[in-house]
Amino acid sequence: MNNVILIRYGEIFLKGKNFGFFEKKLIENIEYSLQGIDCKFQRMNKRFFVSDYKVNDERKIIERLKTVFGIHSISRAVMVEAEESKINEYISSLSLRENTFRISVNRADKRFPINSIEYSKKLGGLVLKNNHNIKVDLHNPDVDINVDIRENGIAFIYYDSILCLGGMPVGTGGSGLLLLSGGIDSPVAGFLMAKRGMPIHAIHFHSYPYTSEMAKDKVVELAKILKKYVGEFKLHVISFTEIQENIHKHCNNEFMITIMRRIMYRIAERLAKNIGCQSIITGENLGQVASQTVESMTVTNAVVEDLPIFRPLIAFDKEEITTISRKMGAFETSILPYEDCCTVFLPKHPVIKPKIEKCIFEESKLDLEKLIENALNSDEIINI
Amino acid sequence: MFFDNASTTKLDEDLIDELKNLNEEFFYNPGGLYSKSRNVKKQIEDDRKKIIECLGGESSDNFVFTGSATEGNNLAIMGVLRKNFTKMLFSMGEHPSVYNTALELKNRGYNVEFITLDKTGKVDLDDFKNKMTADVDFVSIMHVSNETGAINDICSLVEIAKGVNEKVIFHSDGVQAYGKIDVDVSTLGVDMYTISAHKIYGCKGIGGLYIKKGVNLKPIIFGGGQESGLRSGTENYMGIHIFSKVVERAKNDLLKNSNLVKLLKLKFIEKLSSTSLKYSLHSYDDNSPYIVSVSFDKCRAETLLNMLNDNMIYIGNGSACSSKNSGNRILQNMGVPKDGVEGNLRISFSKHNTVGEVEKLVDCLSLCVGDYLSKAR
Repeated sequence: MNNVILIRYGEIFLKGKNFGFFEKKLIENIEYSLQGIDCKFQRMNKRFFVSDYKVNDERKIIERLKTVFGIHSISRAVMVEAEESKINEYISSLSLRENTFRISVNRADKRFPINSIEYSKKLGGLVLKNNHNIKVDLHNPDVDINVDIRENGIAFIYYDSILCLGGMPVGTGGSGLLLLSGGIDSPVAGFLMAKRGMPIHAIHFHSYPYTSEMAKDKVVELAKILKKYVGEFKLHVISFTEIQENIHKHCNNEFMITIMRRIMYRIAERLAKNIGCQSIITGENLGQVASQTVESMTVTNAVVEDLPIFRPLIAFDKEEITTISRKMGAFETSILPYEDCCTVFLPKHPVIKPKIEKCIFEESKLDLEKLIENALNSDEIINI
Repeated sequence: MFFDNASTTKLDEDLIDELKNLNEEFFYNPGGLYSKSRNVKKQIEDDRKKIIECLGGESSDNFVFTGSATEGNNLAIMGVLRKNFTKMLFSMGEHPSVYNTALELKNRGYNVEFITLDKTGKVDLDDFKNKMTADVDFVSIMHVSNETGAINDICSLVEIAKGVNEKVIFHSDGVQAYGKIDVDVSTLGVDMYTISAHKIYGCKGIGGLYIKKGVNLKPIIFGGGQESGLRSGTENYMGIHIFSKVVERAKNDLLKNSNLVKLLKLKFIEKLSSTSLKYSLHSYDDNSPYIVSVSFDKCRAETLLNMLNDNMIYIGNGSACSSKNSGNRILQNMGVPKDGVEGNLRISFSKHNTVGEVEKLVDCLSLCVGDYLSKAR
């Protein structure tokens, strides 16, 4: 009898011929997540499980598996030989404190001599015999005992099922460059794209001395939190100071934010292409602030020539975003009160519905090419 | 160049050798029964006596060593607290270690009131007289403001308080006062007074609370019963001994140091006024010379700090302990407008600063503010 952790994968079971590609990636990601823990990861007939670990490491393993996209749920289980006597012996040894229970048998190995329903009844009898105050409840039991008899002479017995992140294994869904600001939304946007299997890199615009080194440190912290879910990536910190000063000096102040964002997108697209990212990801959310109206997004979108822009939060409420931020463990860091580069030169009345012609006119006052080149040259690459 | 001396100071160089010596001869746990331990214990008592004497206390008074002045302030407030307290008074200008403790008590249902500040940053005397009613059990008002250097006339405040209720217990946070202005706890009339070592060239991790004889405190940390039961935990003798040395030194050098620092403050203000910069001072002539609070028109403090940092000049924006919080309760309470609050810099001097440094500081400030205004405003 062995303690194991059963792993069930999610959506990838829907895959046909390319199932192997997804499964391989998931296995890689699980193995990567378990690095440094003394345990064995095994794959057996569409069942994954972790075994041969120290009891004290169980919690750590579960916490790590809960960060791997593509896993639907996990269960703490015991592994016994798929022989009736062994299973009976284990079930008889159970001492349950709950008031009601249900026992279900799944017989993948049809050679097992008793059918599932009969065997469930028999095992239920054993539980009742050894636990006098417990009753059967098939609909809403306090404890749900599952016996899973596999083809290769092994049976898993487990109670609880811990729901994991679901989604697709990271590394199966193209690649994206995330605009990471330091607020609540952008880490969540990266998290959600990674959930669909997309590996990411990140770009952050920094405006020292108008923003502090602490603001940058905060973004590095957020990137490290994302790393738990998306794996290792690179954070590109781009100096935005010169650009902001130039916009401030030469352009109509009401267009500050719109022009800033148009330039950020231009830089992001060029960087994305340079480093082989196939898309741009932002945490934009319709109607949240003046720069997130449809009109604003239209004029910022217009500067991106080739790559798609993904805005996974576009239709989310702040509360929904906050819930995910908390779940991924980023919220407390996101709300640290350091200025990000958007707030420094904030005009009193930003234009809410900018016209593209006006943006182009304002931008004509800048030496855009040189500013963008300088910004890209300032790229500080941080390995996360 | 370091101009954030109200947040901490550098340990006096000669005391580093002293620390080495202490580590050889006096590392023993003072709780032991062997002679070496008893010797350390005796030294601690000598250091305690010396500090009480320097503070102007009586030999029958107590001084409890704590891990920080924050802990000293907490011990004063939480240690004196009784269930039947009807009213406690604090000033709006207190350091977070007092202010947040007061807020906690308020949350727990105690009747806690705050005295507002006048335009110069001192507690408003009329407001104090109004709120200092006969049912007040406890008052805590800081001696010198860590934000502006404003000096409260503790002596008069104690007189008013005790005149209304002779049993009221009066505590004062003296962290920015001792060693910088004249302090004598007997003249001040306080029941408790907090000081810290690292603000006067001692080690970090050691502070203490002066307790007048007759004030009944209960511990807030429990354990082996050290410090007459008021602060359990093995005594930090190395810190304690250095503490008593710097306390004595600060008293002996008070006049010499404050003459230098007065000159620094004078030079700073004089030179600043000779520039074309637009600024407002939140520190006044009768404040402690060690702290100058100033804001530059249309400049955010954080950006200026970063610019000065690039020139290797280090200054504080308000209290370092609370610089993460937006806004500034103290300046707001003094009625400083929002722009002034956001642009507030705290320049604080030490005996190590020179007139030449102050001149460089103003030159650099002048360049940074000019640069800032031309690029970002």
